[in-house]
Amino acid sequence: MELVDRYLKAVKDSLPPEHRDDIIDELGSNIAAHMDEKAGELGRPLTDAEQRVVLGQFGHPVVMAGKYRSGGGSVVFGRQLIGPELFPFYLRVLTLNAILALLVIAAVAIFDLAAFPGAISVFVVQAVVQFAIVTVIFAMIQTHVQKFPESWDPKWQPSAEQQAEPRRTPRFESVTGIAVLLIVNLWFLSVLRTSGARLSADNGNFVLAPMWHEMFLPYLLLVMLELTGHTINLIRPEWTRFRWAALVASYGLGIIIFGALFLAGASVIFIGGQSTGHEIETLQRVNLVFSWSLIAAVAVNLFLGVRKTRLLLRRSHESGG
Amino acid sequence: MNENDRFENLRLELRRGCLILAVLAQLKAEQYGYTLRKALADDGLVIDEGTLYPLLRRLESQGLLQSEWREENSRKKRFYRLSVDGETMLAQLLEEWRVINTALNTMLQEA
Repeated sequence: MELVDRYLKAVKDSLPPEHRDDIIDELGSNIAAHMDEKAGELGRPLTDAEQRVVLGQFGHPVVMAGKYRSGGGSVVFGRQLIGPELFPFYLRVLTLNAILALLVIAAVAIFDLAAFPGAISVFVVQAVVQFAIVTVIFAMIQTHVQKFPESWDPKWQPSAEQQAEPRRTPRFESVTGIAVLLIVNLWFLSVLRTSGARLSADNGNFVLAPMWHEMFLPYLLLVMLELTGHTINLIRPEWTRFRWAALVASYGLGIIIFGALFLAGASVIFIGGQSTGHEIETLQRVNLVFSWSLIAAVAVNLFLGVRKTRLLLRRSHESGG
Repeated sequence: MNENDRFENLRLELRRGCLILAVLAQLKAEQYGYTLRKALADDGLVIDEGTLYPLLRRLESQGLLQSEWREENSRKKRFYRLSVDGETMLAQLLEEWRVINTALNTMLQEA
């Protein structure tokens, strides 16, 4: 029954926590009844292939879980782009993005009240872009799941032993991670690539220091490594060592990039024109925030890097022994 | 959207309400998910697992069904049956169904 356990675990990961155990118990008992009857007809226990056929009738675990979560919402433009089963996840990613964007706006309001009205217009544009990207990603997932409902195989789900691994990352976290990585970094990479791009919403004279633009390629590599880690977890969650290796590399690169940017000094500089006292004051405050953020980024990458490296070494040691 | 997609959408819409009626009608006698699905299929109404099991929980949360966990053949199973509210609702829905059915039959005979 290991395949059934894997299937149930995949459904459970995407269920609302308050009813999770009850739903899984019930679903498990119905699957067991289904399999018992098949086994009774055949007069022998079901093979793995036969169990897969039965589980295939229950449908993709994400879709199955979505039906339990479904509040009836959907996104329709002519045809249904995102069905009720994926809608709760779609809403969750949109909410997460909106919260991130609002945090940025709040930071602008705290550090430079004068730039606040401009920041709101930037937020509106960002919100529209994020909405479009997230909608396209989920519409693609919906199309894939509908066209290939049998495209999920329980053997891709980690075994009970692998599930007991305390550092395992839920698949949904990877979907969210990929969406957030793409949305945030597509914008950030475009800023890094455009040398001299004005940072303030009113086209003022603040720009990123040249060192930041020199970090375009290393940062792109960092994003690719993180995407690789999430993608491995999504497609082959049992490949924990590959995923951890990609993440360790990304944390190491993160330490180098953010450390180099911190050591380079001012992150934001003033170009052209006469600076007013208010602008100089704002520049100092912004650079202070950048410095602390870079220190925090180095510390977080160092902490996560050490933790994952230890796990990786322990797993290698266990495999070797 | 091609002809098949259009038909599929309309078919699903048509079935949605009928399935609820069928599930309520079958649960005048107590059953658990798997046997209910079989009973519906035996009567000619095939409903996939991914639709039926979440539907049962929704109907229960609306107070139309009540359930309890019990052991049968050394397995724990969740048995559902109509609640008092469910019985009233079923009677009302059946009345509505008969009105629609009569009207449609009249229209189809005229056509």
